[in-house]
Amino acid sequence: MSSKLDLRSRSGFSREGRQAGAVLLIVLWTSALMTVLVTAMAGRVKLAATSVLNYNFVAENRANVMSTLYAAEAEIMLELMPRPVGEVLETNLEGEIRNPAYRFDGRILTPSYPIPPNMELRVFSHAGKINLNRIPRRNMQLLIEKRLGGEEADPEKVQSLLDAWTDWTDLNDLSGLDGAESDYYLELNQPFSPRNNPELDTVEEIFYIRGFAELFAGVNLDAAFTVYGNNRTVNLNFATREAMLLLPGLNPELVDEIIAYRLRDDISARSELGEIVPFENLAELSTWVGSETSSFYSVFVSKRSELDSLQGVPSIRTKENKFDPLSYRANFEEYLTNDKEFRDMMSETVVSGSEVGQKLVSGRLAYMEIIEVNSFNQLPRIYKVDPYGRLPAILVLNETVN
Amino acid sequence: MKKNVVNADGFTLVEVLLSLSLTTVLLSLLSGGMFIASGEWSRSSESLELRIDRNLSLLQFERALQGAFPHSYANSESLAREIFFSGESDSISWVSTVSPQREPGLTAWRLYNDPSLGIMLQLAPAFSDNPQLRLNEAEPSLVLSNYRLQVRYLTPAGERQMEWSPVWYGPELMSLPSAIYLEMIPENSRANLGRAELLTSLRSNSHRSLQPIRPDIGLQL
Repeated sequence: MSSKLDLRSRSGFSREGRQAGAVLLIVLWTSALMTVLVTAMAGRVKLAATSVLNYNFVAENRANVMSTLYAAEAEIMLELMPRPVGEVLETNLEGEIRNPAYRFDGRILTPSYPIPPNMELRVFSHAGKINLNRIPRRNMQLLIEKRLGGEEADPEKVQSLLDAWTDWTDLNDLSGLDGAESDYYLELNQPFSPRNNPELDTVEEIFYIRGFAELFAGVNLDAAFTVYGNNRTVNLNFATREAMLLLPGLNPELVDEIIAYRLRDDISARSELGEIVPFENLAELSTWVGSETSSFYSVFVSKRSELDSLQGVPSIRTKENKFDPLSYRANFEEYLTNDKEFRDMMSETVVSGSEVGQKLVSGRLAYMEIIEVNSFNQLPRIYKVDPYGRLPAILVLNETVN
Repeated sequence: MKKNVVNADGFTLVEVLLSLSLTTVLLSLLSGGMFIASGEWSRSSESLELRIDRNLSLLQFERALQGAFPHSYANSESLAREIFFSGESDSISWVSTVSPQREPGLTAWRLYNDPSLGIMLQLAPAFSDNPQLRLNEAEPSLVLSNYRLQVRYLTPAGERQMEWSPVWYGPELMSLPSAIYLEMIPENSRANLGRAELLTSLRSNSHRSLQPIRPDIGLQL
């Protein structure tokens, strides 16, 4: 015992107690300061790293979208070439060969040239849309009447909308009986001049025509209408749901039946259409439908993972405190989907979910291009690019997710 | 043992002075180092934030330029149809399918230099006529301070040749350039950021029914 005490006092333990406290304080302060500094620095480094990661993410996505687009262009050009000998084509139940061109109806395509695995490609032929630049006045009247409630439509309102349409698309600036020309549009809150040309530039333009914004409220115009090509009829093999819903003689149930029929077989003759659509509706519908094709296509490229997250499929969404690029990316996407504005933008509505295992959704966001392909030895012409395009209503089969 | 206890009761003046001066030197060295380090970090973090701002605006312009659309309108005087696009070396106006508010329809964008502020942006709906007036009256917003804009347009010059020209006027050429080279040049060295550049192709550059006019050859049918 005594020797231990001796050792202690000799090493100065007892008297240096107070000094050690002071040193401890200094050490604690220094380390606290250092911690704060290092934390701040680490925050900056993390910010720099995440922003670099994001730029990388953006660039990578862009490259994927572009390569998918080029594959789609090539696919449509290949369609114009003679079919290879010995190619096995899809047949219907009776063993008849189905027209391969009808795959440009908005289904998910697997093009001949490989595309990045996380990309989803859909092509809509403009033969399946109502051509606004070639619509006769009489047909426009029928469209308006259908939107306003069919037989019960107020004739005065129909006439007023029709006159506004006529004045917008005629070449002069003289108002019709109940029409609207510069005198009306220049008095608006945000004044502008009417088109005064039978050729509209974009389909969204009809929103500017007096009364039409109200008439077509909630309709995905790009999906229902086109301003490209010379088609006067809609080919039901390509038709988008939006376009079919606007056509006189069709109702949501019939549209669902047509879409279901299309999955099994082509609608190649009027008699086949008669199997789906009752006679009295067919009379109304028949002036609108035809078997024309179009050289204009809307190409939609979207990301598969975005679709997964929207369908509520659990993916790599683990909350980790560790900084790990992969989980960061997932969290970043989650952040985007939690962001209200972004969610509204991405929002899609389930139109119907009648059959088990499938549902119709609309409003999905995708990179969109409208292109014209006239020949297999000439590059397509690009008419419109919309990096934030909206997909028409599409049938989602749950098996495509899994 | 007794001797030890007596010695521990106090320090000599020299000891105290020495320890105090040593502590002062150490602390001042430490705090000086920290001051320098923290100053350096706040500077670099400021430039990091500026860089992020700058790159985000570049990204936004890139999207808007990719979505450029050959918007046509009737000239109110000649009644001829024209394509909207106005490109100069220090400003650019175009119509795009992209709008920051995700509004339906087309949006006209205008980027220009304000010598006292920096790069400014104006936005207006394109509607169905010439949006230039609306655009000029729109409320400008500062995109990037202490920066200057410089734009070049890829222009055909002779057979199989292209050059970067400082102007592109849509109504004359009836089309959009096939590519745009946009530079953001820092005005003063305070921000200590390099220039940023954006090279983007305009995939949709001619109208479906209006014939483009080549600056070197003229109308080509």
